[in-house]
Amino acid sequence: MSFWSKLYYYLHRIGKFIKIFAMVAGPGIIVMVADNDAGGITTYAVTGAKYGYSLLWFLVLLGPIAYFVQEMTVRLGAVTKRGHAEAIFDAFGSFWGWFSLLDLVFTNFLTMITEFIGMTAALSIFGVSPWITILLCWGIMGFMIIQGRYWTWEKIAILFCIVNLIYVPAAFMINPSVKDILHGMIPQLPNGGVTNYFFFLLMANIGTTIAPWMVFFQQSTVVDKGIEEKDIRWSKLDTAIGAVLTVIVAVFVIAVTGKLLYGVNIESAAQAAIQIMPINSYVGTLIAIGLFDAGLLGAVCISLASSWAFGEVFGWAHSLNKKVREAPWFYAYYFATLLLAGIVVLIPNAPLVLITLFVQVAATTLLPAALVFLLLLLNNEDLMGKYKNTLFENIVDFSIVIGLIVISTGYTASVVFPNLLQ
Amino acid sequence: MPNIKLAFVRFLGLFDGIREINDRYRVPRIKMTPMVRFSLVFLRIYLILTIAILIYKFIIVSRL
Repeated sequence: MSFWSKLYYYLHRIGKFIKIFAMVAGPGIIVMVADNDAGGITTYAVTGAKYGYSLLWFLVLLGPIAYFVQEMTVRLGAVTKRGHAEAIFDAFGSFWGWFSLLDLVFTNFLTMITEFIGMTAALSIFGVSPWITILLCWGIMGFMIIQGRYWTWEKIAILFCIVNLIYVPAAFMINPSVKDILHGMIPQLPNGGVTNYFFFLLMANIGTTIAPWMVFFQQSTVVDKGIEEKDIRWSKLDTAIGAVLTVIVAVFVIAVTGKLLYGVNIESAAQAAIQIMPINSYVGTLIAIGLFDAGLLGAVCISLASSWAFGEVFGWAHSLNKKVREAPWFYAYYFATLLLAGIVVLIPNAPLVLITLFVQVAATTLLPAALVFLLLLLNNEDLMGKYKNTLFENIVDFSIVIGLIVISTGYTASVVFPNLLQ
Repeated sequence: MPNIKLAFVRFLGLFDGIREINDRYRVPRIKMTPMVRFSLVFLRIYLILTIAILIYKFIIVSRL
């Protein structure tokens, strides 16, 4: 075979791979980027302002952890063609099924509120009133799904994922020290050592990177998109790219707040944007736009995760490929959570800061339950056949679950004995 | 009025739906190996403890 023939053959092959990947990609990138929601951006911003670059290594570590957790949902969804809620009901019975579903609904609703808090706070920086922001969000979120086509929804969601990368140019505009950032990648304890607040931030970072809604969401999107067993490797690649993107966003947010706000007490990403405005108005503006986008993407995905889960369990039609009249309960639930979460944010004197803090910790504490079910399902040969967990995957996945349980228990201990880690 | 009645009947139908779901998933289909049993018992204990502590913390923080 001549050189040109070989070249043509390889290019054709690469083109074919790209085409297949483009068909399969979506759920992994969307779930991972949506994971950097308003709460996530706030957590990263606070982490950077409090500890500078010294916890960057922890966020980099969370990338592969998130990947290993999420790729299990890909396999489970592609093999069983069922969403996670239905899989838990079927395998573990109604008690654990209801527990998982109600746990999901509770944490998702609180998380939705935090998304709306983030979006209203972000646009208030530009003088937009919360009422207008909420109406705008309802409009965009309604438009995204009302089309009755999964593909349309996915394309719009991908667009929001690209906007989420806005923190990358923001960081380049302030020229952070590459040496300091690289030093932050080396595992270390921050100044001040292990305190309750340190534990709280670790928990919040875990809670925002690996959340129960992500497990339910990705498995449901895999099923709704019609991904099959032969597509698993492409779906894994999709998830891996998403994991890289999520870490990139986290690192660049910390690069910004770690440089500009180190030592400044902030409670949210919106506060960070306001504090940065006088220093560099372009960076402050980009942070505010990024926060709005993050909240929007997070709200759409989280609300859909609950709608899919309810649809699966109650047997309602539950697909983005169906029109509103074909799947009325699915869409009714989606819009009901959007409306309620928006209204809560508009209630005067609602304990919004408390809800924001509570939701990340609650999600982290309840996460081990979701992960244990996932692990048990992935080890069930009757269900998974040749796609069940390998020894290597089990070692990694069990280590992740045990690590999370240890950190959650550590936090619990720090709550019961507040002076233990002072 | 007929629409309100229809919506009400459908809402009540949800309870029948819950009963039906409970009947359908009464028996867990996963093979109850020692690993599965241990995991589920551990999970019950872990969740009871952590949820109790979270509620306690939430009440304390709310009062402040």
